[in-house]
Amino acid sequence: MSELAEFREETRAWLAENCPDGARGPGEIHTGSTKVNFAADTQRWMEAMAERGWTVPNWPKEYGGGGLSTEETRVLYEEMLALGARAPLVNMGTRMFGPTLLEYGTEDQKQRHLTVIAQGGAAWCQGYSEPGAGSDLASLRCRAEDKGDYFLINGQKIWTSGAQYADWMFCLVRTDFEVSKHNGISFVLLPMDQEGVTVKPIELISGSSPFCETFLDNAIAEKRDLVGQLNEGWTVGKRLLQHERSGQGGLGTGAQRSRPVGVSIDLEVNEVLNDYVKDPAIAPELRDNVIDWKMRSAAFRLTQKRAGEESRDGKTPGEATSVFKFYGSTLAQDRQDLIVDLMGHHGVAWEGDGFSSDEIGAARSWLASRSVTIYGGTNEVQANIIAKRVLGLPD
Amino acid sequence: MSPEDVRKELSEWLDANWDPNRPLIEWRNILVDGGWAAASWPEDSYGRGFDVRQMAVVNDVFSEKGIVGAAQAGPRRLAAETILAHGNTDQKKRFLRPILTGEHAWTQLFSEPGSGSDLAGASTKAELIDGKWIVNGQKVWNTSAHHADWGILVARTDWDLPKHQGLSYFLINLKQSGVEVRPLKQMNGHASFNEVFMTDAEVAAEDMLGTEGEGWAIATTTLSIERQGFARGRNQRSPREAKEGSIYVEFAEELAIANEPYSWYPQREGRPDLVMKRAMDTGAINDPVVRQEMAKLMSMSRAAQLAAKSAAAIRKAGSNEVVPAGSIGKLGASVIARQSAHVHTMISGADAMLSGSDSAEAGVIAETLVSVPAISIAGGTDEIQKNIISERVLGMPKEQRMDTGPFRDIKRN
Amino acid sequence: MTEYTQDQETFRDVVARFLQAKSTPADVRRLMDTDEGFDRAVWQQLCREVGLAGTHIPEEYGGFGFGPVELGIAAEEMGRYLYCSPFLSSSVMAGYAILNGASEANRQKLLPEIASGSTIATLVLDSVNAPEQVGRQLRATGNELDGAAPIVTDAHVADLLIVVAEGKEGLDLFSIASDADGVAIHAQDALDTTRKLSRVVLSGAVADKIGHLSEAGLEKTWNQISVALAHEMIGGAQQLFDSTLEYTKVRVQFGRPIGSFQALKHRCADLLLALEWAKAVTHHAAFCLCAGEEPETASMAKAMASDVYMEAARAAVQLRGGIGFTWEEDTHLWYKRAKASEVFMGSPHMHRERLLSQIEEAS
Repeated sequence: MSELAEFREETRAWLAENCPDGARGPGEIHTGSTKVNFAADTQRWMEAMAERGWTVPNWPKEYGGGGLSTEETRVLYEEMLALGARAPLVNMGTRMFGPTLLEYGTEDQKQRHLTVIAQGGAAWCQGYSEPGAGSDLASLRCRAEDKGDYFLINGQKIWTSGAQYADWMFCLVRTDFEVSKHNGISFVLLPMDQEGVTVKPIELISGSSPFCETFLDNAIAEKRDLVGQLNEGWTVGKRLLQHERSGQGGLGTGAQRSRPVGVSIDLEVNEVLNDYVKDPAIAPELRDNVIDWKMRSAAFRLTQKRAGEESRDGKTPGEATSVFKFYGSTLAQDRQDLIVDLMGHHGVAWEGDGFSSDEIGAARSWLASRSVTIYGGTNEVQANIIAKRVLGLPD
Repeated sequence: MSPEDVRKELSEWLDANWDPNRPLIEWRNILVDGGWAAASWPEDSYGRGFDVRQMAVVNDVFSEKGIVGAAQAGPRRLAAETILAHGNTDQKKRFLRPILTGEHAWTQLFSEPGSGSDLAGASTKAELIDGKWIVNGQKVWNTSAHHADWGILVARTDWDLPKHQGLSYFLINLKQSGVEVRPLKQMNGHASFNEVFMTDAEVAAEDMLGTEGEGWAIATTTLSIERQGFARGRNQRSPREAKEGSIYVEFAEELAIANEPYSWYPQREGRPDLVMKRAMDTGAINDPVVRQEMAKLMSMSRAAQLAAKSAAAIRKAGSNEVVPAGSIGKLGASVIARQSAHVHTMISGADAMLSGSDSAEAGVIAETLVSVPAISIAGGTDEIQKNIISERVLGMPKEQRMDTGPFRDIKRN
Repeated sequence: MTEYTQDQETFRDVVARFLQAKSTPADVRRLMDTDEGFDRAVWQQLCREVGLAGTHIPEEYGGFGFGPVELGIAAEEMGRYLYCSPFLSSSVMAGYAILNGASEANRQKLLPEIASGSTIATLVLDSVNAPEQVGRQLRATGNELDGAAPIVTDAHVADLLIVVAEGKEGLDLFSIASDADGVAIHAQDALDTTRKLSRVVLSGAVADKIGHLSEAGLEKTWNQISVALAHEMIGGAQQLFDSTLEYTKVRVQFGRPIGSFQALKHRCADLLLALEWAKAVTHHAAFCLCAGEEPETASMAKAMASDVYMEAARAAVQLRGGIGFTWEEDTHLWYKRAKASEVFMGSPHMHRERLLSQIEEAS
């Protein structure tokens, strides 16, 4: 038996024994937040995996990871998927910040932050967008003043997902206003539990509030939490965005494929078609739309798989991630459009006894899906990146 | 003049003058002298200043009586209307009459291999030497140039000015040794267009339209007349039923030559008119998916008709000013043509591969499928139309330009 | 061919000015959170001062005697300002059903109250999906009505229900007070809270039979409602388009207004084309209702208006970016109305199928 097959056997057995029933199938996923009480099985599952370093299986062991190779990581995810095990821990630390810190952090920073993330001991949020700096992120104006051993930060961040539950924020700030816009930015880390940080949730058209405005008034970030060099934060920040996009597009990790924020149900389009569309005069047209979506979806999945296989190590997504973000978010949005379309007037339910929970979920998810082509860089911005960086078209 | 008066006066005049056995050119000279060749034109240019309603009566009477009107087919209309708008008295006098009588056929010399969408980037050169303009350069996409007598030409007269300011507009005689016309074959097999090579070709000083440097402004008029044509479709056809008289023979010959380059134009518009028949013939009418697409197509076609009418109403109510509504109509025509080709493909299935005379509609469907790509390119691409619409109709801010400053310093092909 | 007269333009101005003052986004937000969903005082004022409730109802029944064109003008402005009121339910839906199906005596009796706005009525159809599905759930045995209508607009505030039910000889038209025995009205929570929906259940409810609705009468009523709704939708689409366009001219990113990017320009140009088309067809459909011509233009209008409203709504959110997705920004109010209107009185798919059948029959 090859080593990999042996690993598979062991993993399968271990998972079967250690994954609690309450951590299988759809349900709650641990975010590492110290401000949230998770269900007992969610907590137990996260801790069991963290002990083996499998919350972040491909991180090095010295920072709390599992030290697994790309192949082993894939085997682990495949076995989790086969068992129906949920991801033990998903947050911005595991998906975006951690991988970035592995590349750019000092030894001290890695020691202090990565282990805590791997152990599910802190949730992170992203201090990037500002009211005046959305698509044009590099025009951000949040000011950080050098006060010797710390930075004093003043400004406003927006679209900070999960800020109300976060323990830490990684944040892009302007440390030099005199140079061109990309050259005066620094990447700092700051604890959320301090006097200078105020978080205000933003209510969305779907009625939920997964995003926040975060006000920084004399907030403090320690000097030792500056990642990368002073005024070179744009490079670090951009790298992190690539990790973000690959996560949103769902590159590689089948077990933790992410859903659009606020999308609460996962109806199969063909089931909806069978349940709702009865009129023989229009059913074939709608069936056509369903098949079209399924074909595009399959093409997307296969392309992701191929890209995963082509990249020598699955840890460092490149510019092509924009393609996945662009196409993945479009597909997700089209899917919700299609479901509501198929449901007809049942799809415009909000709440109440006249409608099933699927129908209510469909309406909310449909509204929520508007945001997937906006957050993490709008589709327009992704298309510009694809044109320039992937296709090499001139500016 | 009321519509009734127009009808009466024209009918009386025709009764006195119309003779179907007159030579064609002779008849049209009479028509021009009588003021009925182009009644919508101003009175000092062979016309009567008629408005849309009065013109409708004129056209009705002509078609009721089977009268052969002024020559209209081909690019000559672009030349005529541009000369009408920008020509001086002498030019109107020399050029308009032979256009109306059909003695002169025209072509349009705008596009170049290096300047397609960016027409103002033309680099054909015109230099004034010894009181004559000497022209050197190459033009392309010149409809009917192979049988044209004259051309409307945009050429660069100043290389130190910004690109739009260094152009001038000329009326060039094509029957000279410095002009060579070569046909250009398209993907649908037709050769409606030509390349025109000008090597030390000459234009008399008095044949510049407008003043030096005014070329772009005048070209804009021509282009907008052209765009309206795309939305409206071509109009001159020979009388439906055969009529007695030698003039009809001559007229049919003229049309055969002039309309030949346009024989595939209905196909590039997608032939939505054939969709219902084809769907019935093939039974595709019973396919609900095809029905949805047909309904979309029919809605678009009807909407475009209705929208064009209200655009015409706006023009009538306002002035003769050229409005960018033409761009909306042209963009719409592209959308409809593509949808129509899509529907035809669905209806025909594998039969869409056949193009022979025994294939669907004697090959017309096949020709449609390979002609439709032209409509979103010719006369300004869809992309250019969208720029025009967003900037001029919607007032959206212009994109930063990379082509300001002296023309000779601008990057080009 | 669609050209409005000076009088019609004046009528539009009057309605628009009133709604601009009385139906601001703040008003809409306030009302959508109430149970009633509209402001009675404002509605009464609009009926009294502008006579809006009787716009299209003939003078002999106490209305203004205008036609579908003026009705369309009013609806278009209501869509633009997202005016919350029982206008569509009472004047348009119940009004047209009575005009098309009720006996002369019942028209005399019922319409003046609706035209003056003193009675709020609504039309109870057991299917708002397709005309041929009407009558499958509501049954009449003599004057007794049984069955349920899952989606009825404004039933919670209606004084009078006009019910279409399947009797012995096809569809009959009934009127019944909303508080009569055997009538149960259950408020439904719905996506678009600016137009309230209820489920109406009738159990042995004794109603007045006011007339018969022939198949042609139902088709005509459906067309009239669809055309009015299409006007409302293009009004809403125009509002979204205008405000989005404005946003692209003032929002600066990358050191320039985002409206200077070709990607956004082309999207706006495409949207303008679709909007111009939908407007042309919708306006024309109203003229056709007047002239009794081209009945298929009603479905054409409803389908095109639905598609362009949703397209404008999508663009309105997307081009605003994150802000367009917030509750605080007003875009979502129209966005939700766009979706709700798209599936009300027949989806675009249904209308396109209906359109093609009509063209087929005509040819």
